[in-house]
Amino acid sequence: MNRHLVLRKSAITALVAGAAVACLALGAERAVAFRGGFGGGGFGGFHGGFGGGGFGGGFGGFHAGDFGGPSHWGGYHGSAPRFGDGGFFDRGTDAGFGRGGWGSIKNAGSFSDHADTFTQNHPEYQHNASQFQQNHPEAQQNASQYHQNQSQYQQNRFNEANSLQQNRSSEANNLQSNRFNEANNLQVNHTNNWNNYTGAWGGYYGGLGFGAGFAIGATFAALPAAAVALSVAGTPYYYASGVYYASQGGQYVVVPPPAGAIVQTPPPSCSSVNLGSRGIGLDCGGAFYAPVSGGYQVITPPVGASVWSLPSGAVDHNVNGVTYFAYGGTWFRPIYAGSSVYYEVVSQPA
Amino acid sequence: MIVGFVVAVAFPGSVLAQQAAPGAAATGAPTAVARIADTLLKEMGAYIGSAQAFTFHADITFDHVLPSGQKLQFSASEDVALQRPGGLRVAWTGDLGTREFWYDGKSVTVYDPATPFYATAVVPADIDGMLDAVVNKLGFSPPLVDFLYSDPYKSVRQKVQYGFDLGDNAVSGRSCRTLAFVEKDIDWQIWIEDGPQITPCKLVITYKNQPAQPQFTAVFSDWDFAPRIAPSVFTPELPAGTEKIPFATVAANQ
Repeated sequence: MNRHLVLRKSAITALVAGAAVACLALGAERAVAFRGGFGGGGFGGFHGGFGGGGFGGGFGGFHAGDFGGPSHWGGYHGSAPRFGDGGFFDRGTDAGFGRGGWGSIKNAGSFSDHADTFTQNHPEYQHNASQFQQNHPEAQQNASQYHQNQSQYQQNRFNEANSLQQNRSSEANNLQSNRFNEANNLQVNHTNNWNNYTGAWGGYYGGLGFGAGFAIGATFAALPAAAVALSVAGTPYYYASGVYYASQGGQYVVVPPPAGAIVQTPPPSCSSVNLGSRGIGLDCGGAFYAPVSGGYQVITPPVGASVWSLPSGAVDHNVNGVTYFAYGGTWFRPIYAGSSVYYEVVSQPA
Repeated sequence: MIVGFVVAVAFPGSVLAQQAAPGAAATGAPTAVARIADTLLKEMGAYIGSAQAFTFHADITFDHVLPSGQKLQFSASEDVALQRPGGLRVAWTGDLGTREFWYDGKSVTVYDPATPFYATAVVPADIDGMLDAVVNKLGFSPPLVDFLYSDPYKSVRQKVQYGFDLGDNAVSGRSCRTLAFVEKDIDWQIWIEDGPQITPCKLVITYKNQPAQPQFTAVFSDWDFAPRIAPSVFTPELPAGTEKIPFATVAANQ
């Protein structure tokens, strides 16, 4: 099975080779920069993840303009449909193949029913335009920036394709253990438990949007201008564009999304996810947010929630002949919803 | 909405004016369908439904809608092989991916070749029952499923509120009669070949209640009612190592 998947990813990689090369070059620069700020034993972990969760997503964010606009749709066409649509495509993951009766006169009513469900799963449709824009500040940007965002989504597809391939190497596992250790070291003086929750994040914001690809543990001398101060269980954090920072020795270190944090503006690009009793939340590259008064709260992904795409950097595990994917301490099981594969949060298999 | 549609669109003209009962749209009762439209649908349904086996090809375009309301159009091609009572094969290849679908009279199998996973479900032993089970329990139906039922006329006619005839129009060089229909959830147009084979030339479905009113369009070709289909066509053909995973049922999906 792995061989099959790897072969498939290879084809995708070849298809987008041009973009990938450009991205690698940018990534190398960024890696050096991070090395200076981070250093020590942590670098092995960072490097191990290079091409995985960290590959491109954040660099796409930094260099979104480098990846052009519509011209890259060609690569999108070649990509597998299940690779993260960021919640932005209606039926984007079913390849058009009849979800909810799509493409059938007889089943049109059924499709409408499902469309209602779809709307529930895409809360942006329930908002009016101004609310939508509040929640999606990128929509307020001009057209060229919108295209940059499009290229960002495009980039995410590349990323996920590459990262899944990358997952096949054992480096990802090494990376995770390195990350885990580093996170613990960094957090000795902290009382919160975010490293418990996120110990297996792989050291990156693996997911979508501008926050993606920021290396956990990377340090910055200054916060982004838009950073907002938060307090989670008494520990101060700063939040900007989907990335969380903690103060550390006069600098700011990127940390995984701390469970319990409440932000007004969710990360720039997320998919909707049904959280059951907690309503319709957001899956922001593997970080789950539940709607609360005043914004969105970082939560531990609940068992039973399902997402259309895995976080970048998710690692597959074969447990008694069944494939699971793990990311951020969360386990996913692939399942066919209609004619498309999606991923359901499950308890860690024994 | 429907009333507005009728008022706003001029071309239904005399047919509708003569046959539409006042207030029918408000009650949702089955209403006016021009006789020629109904007759042609019935003839087409009888022609396709009475066949023991057929194959066809369809070139498809369909819309995806961004939250901004922008519509993006994508393409796909669909190949269908049907053998009554219990054989169906659908292959879908398009911009957004490929899907393989098999029915062997006992179970259906779906495979997305972009993944190493497939799923199988036990279904009724006849095509009609299978198609109902797939859409009701598994939450999808192979596109153009209407023409796979043993009574295609019933499939497409049941929810029609208005229907009218738009005359002869060519589709890919074939002479076809265009019909237009109004339903609660969709409007649709069908082009039916004016020839010895009373088959669909083209179908357009407009999801008028969906944001930005996405459309699904199929242009049919290569109808063959005397195909020689190898039995193995209906048996799933999966690469070695492909892993079986569960189907989510519709109930569990909500």
